[in-house]
Amino acid sequence: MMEQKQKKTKNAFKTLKRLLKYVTSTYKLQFVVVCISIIVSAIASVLGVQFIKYLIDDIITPLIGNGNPDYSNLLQAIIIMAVIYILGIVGTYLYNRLMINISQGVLKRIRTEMFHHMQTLPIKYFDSHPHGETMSTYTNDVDTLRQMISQSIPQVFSCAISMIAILFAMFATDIYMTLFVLVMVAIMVLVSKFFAKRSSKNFIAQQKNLSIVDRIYRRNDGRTKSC
Amino acid sequence: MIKKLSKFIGQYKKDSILTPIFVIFEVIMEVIIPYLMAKIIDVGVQNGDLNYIFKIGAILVVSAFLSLTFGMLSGRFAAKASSGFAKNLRKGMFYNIQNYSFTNIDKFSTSSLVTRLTTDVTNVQMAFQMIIRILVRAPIMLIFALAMAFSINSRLALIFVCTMPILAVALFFIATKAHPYFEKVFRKYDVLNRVVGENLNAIRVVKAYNREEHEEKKFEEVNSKVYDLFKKAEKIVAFNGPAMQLTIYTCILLLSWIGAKMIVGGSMQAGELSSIITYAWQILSSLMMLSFVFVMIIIAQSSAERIIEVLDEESTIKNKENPVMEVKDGSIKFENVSFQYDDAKAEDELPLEDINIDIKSGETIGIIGATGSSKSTIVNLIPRLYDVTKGSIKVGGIDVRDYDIETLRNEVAVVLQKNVLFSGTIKENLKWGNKEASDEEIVRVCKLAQADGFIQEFPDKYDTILDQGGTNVSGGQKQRICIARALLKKPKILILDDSTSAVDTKTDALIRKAFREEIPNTTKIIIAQRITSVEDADRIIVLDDGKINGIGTSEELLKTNEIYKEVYESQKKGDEDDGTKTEEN
Repeated sequence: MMEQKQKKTKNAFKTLKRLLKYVTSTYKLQFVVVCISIIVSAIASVLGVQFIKYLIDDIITPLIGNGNPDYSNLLQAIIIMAVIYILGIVGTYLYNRLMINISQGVLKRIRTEMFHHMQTLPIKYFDSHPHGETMSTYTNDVDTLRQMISQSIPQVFSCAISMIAILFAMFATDIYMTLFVLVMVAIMVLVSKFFAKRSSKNFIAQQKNLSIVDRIYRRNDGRTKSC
Repeated sequence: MIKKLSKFIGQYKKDSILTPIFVIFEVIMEVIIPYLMAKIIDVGVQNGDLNYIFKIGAILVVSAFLSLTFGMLSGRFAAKASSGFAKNLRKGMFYNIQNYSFTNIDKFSTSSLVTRLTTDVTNVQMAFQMIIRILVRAPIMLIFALAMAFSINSRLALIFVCTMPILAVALFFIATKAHPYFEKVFRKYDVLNRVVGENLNAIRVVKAYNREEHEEKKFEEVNSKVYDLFKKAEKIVAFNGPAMQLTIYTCILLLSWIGAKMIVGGSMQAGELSSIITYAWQILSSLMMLSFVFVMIIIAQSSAERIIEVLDEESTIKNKENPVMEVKDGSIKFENVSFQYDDAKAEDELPLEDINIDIKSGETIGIIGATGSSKSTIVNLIPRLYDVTKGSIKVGGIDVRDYDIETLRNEVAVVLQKNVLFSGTIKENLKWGNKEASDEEIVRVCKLAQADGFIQEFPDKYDTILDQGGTNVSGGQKQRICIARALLKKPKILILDDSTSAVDTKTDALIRKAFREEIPNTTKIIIAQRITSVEDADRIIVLDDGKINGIGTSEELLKTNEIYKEVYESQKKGDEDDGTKTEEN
């Protein structure tokens, strides 16, 4: 049981690695740009939070009580921030846009390779695998991959960057407090891992069932036509 | 559209309502937590009141726990509600498809129906789950954050009110632009499915003729189209995130500028500015969630429309009111029958034109004609697989359109040339004809169809398992099993549409002999390419270009009909050359 589980996680990693290879191999340059854009976008949003603190402590507070306030510092800070925000927005657009090229390109390639591979399979394969099952790999399973590539991968990356940036900020503020939060986060991760495992099991079952629906439909379609 | 689909929530209504309720509870808890934290700091820490800190701290832990529980519960109910909803949708579609006539199925195409039942339903299911969870959560968060922002400083909060409509317009624009592309994507998905499906079904032919490359080229064409369309659609959607960020960043900068002046002017506290900006971030995150759901809904909208098309499609062939429930005998009468397919153009030739035939009950009729002379079309009209365009067909003296469809089809059995067997045992396949058939009955019809012999030679006899599509029996054997299956229905009319094409001439003759002797009262219509299959029929119809060219016995036709004579002579000569034909395939 334990071994099986380990093998499964190992396989999952293998699949993920293979998928990532698809993403990185054909679109190396674009992928690098996507990574940079995600970093820019994530840092811009973290800086955005830090900016408020700086704005209040270092710019606004000294101005309070000043009868004839000089707003040029404030204006300067806001302009700098605007530039950072614009960079962030450009970054977001760029990675969303390039990710479309990559994800759709990868999906197209996967479909092509799948079809090509299907042509080389022996007849025995087609006799022993229901047609519905094969068909739903082209649509349902590839569709799920689309969500994974275009949403999950960049999201994971973007969150990781923000996390690191925020962590730095937190350590800079208070080390002990940060350590306490990290312990709590660890507990949270364990809990969600437990649920994720259960839900992925059910999700696989759902994909399987869909292929059965497909099969039943094809079967029944035959009946409406023949008898 | 929503009204039509919501009907399918059915027994999952409870779950669909519980989900948003728990979502609301979850949000309330999440909102209480920062408030409690502020209390601990502002009241507890400032006054050094340890008791107070512990008391509020305890409430804090309970709230956090409750929030987690509510979150889990809402997720659970949402999953149940959405997958239940999808199940009901598929069921509804499937049931309606069962009522479809051939015309209906031609209209959608099989592959499109498959995509609609799977991909489209999944899209709607995802969107439904999002709607009952995120679409409840995000607006509540949004309203709450807005309300808090207003309570802190209503003048500053007005900035939100000004920028939101701009965002709404942008989102609306994105949606209306992207929707048609998604629609097209799904139509291409149908084609993709069709190419894969065709390839799967015809894999033997593809391999035999080395057509792999050609198939791949065909696939590549659709594949590229799907790629192009998806890219176009997603390119538009890609503006979603940046538009959102642009709005919220503009808000923050405006807040900072105006807020700073207000603070310096003394009309606001520095702490208030920082919390109003915190709420701005909360608004941003709920807007982000909304935009995510929004994209899902755009995609699901196209899918939902496709689902509704399937649900709303009414069968072109329906029971009349008070249909006739009994077929008296096997007589068939064609009166001035003309037929045209629905999708044909006006100038197209009619597949059948002005057909008049009178067939007595128990008669054996042969139909021959070149490929494309509408032999199959003529028999498809009898069990109402298609309806006539003009004229009428009477079975047992009553117009076929007056019968209950099930009654009619039970009495008219059609065996197609390319017939379908299902994975399962031979016996299970035969029982499609009649669920209650006894073993003796099954053996009897198999003997009639000359199938008993080879079935008995299988090690598992009638329990031999057939592969999908019956690939482990020969073409001729498959045809004989299909004939037996039709016989099990004990029909009054039996139509063999070129269904002994792969059976050798000797066995073919034995089958006809058995028909003549064992089921003399059943009307038999035999369509064939082979002249020997129809030669001994009571009457033979020669079809040419959708018209009757001649009717009569073989002898009569040999004297009067040119086409028949020509076919007869060419085939008889061929037969003499190679003696008895061996089984094909």
